[in-house]
Amino acid sequence: MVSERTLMLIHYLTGLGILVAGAVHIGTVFLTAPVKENLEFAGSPFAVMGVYRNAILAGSLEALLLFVAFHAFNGLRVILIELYQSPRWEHAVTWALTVVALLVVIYGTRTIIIAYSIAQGVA
Amino acid sequence: MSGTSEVLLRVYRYDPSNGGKPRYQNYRVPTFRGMTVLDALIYIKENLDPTLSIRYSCRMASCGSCGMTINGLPRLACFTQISELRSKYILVQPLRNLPIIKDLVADLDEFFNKHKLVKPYLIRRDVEEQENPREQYRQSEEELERYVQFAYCIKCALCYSACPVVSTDKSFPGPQALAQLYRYYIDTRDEAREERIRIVDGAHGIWRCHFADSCSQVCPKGVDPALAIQLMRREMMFGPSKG
Amino acid sequence: MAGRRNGLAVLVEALRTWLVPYRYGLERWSYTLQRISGVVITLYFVAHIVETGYVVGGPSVWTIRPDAQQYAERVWTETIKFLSNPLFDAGLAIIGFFVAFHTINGIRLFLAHFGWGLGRPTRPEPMHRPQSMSPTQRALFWASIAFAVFALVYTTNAFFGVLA
Ligand code: HEM
Ligand code: HEM
Ligand code: SF4
Ligand code: FES
Repeated sequence: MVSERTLMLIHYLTGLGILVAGAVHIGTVFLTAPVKENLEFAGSPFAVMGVYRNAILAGSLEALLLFVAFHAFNGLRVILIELYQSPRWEHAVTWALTVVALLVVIYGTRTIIIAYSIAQGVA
Repeated sequence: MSGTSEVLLRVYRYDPSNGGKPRYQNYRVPTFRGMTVLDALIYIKENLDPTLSIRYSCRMASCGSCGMTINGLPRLACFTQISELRSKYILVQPLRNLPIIKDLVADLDEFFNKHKLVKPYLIRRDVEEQENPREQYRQSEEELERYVQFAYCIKCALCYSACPVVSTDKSFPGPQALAQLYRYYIDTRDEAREERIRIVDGAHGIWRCHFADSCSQVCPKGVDPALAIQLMRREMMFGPSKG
Repeated sequence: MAGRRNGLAVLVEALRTWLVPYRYGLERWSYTLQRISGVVITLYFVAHIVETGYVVGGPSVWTIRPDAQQYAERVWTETIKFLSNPLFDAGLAIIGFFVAFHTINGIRLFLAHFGWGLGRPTRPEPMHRPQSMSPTQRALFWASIAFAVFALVYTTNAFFGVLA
């Protein structure tokens, strides 16, 4: 098992990672053009297809996805094991949250991979 | 009674031998200049209601036995003047986060057990020296300053009662024990650093502190347990500092 | 206060101590807000991953179909149309507030948990102010509030154009 110390260290480091990848994300969505334009399907470098087409931006979305998934579900784990203490509860909480986190990561990664592929064909 | 003013004390009453249902009881108490909440409770016990249970000893904020929740905050009854509360109405309850023995008397066993858990004494590797110390241990002023603030603790459990983590996580050692852990850990005379780290490294150990800082807000001795805990976390994340 | 702790009592006690920070000073508010914002952003995050999934056409799409582009564009445009109403926009502005707070306050906690930016141990005088509530820590807390308010105004403006 991973020690609590390591888990919390990763929690803080992913926090810093989100700081960087999140700034890139918010920057591309809000600062490059009016939000409504950036939420369109295609037509500009920062519309969704433009973002996914760019390997660096798509890669940074994947990084954001991984960082946030760990940070958020570890945060929930902390809250839940502070709420109630028993080995069974903690075991259940840890496994259930690991499964949900994995599902979110798999689904999000699917979006990124397929969107990246589709975007290659979009002007 | 002209010339004296009065306060109304609303006091938490609980007697396990008497059905065990908590209730509140009101008492009117005449005040005098400099009167503390403890004085008022003693007045009640001597003049109004001898069945009220309270615990106190030193009456000067040194023994740590009169901690209770006064107008919503954990405080020492002997160290809280009626006048500083700026209210004619005072709500007195036992300390939170602890079992209640009777009325205003909280059971401190759990709290003391956690204190003992962190081995609050100097440990020397040399067993003979540990049992029958002979050596003299010199410390510089600077070495003393590292821990002396935390050594002011009187084990009153106010911090323990204020901590939002302790309120739901009973396996968390709490601010007092963790601060004492650091107090011995950082003492240059101590030789049990690894052992001390192991005691609080688990899922319900030091990592559960979220720096809500309520412990430091209520400590009557200025111990600042939250500071000790964060300094301890630094040691554990980055390895022991020199010295 | 007395008596045995059953499940419901534990939950009530937890919500009371987590959600009612009043009386214990600034840091307790930061603790409560960090927890609320953490949970709120997490909920948003999961919804956001589901929502952006429609960029490629939603949960049924796991391969690249021949009409992938047109299909994806149609589904995404419908999704955006569905989501662009004042209710969701207001929700996003609130998310902006929480994200901004959680970020700056997270940096503060990051520093504090590693022992940076705190005061040093001293000999406490009577009426001593805790060193852990150092000026740096206080400044960072207020910065997180200020940034959160800024984010709220900024996102509200971005979605509703109120400052235009
Ligand atoms: C922007 C950068 C971020 C930083 C620097 C950051 C940092 C932190 C820190 C320091 C904590 C407190 C841990 C503790 O007190 O021991 C925390 C808790 C938490 N964070 Fe973040 N975080 C960030 C972004 C996020 C995001 C995007 C999410 C959700 C999607 C999130 C979800 C949580 C949760 C659920 C908690 C647990 C709250 C608690 O323990 O009370 N954080 N974060
Ligand atoms: C209101 C603010 C936000 C808006 C309008 C927004 C919008 C978007 C859009 C349009 C995309 C598709 C890619 C792109 O065009 O850049 C996206 C992807 C993404 N966003 Fe956000 N976002 C916001 C906030 C956030 C926050 C706070 C997080 C982190 C908790 C986040 C995490 C992600 C992730 C991980 C992806 C990639 C999802 C995937 O492809 O699987 N976003 N977002
Ligand atoms: S640290 Fe302060 S509040 Fe806590 S037990 Fe010691 S003296 Fe009391
Ligand atoms: S009676 Fe000793 S501390 Fe109050």
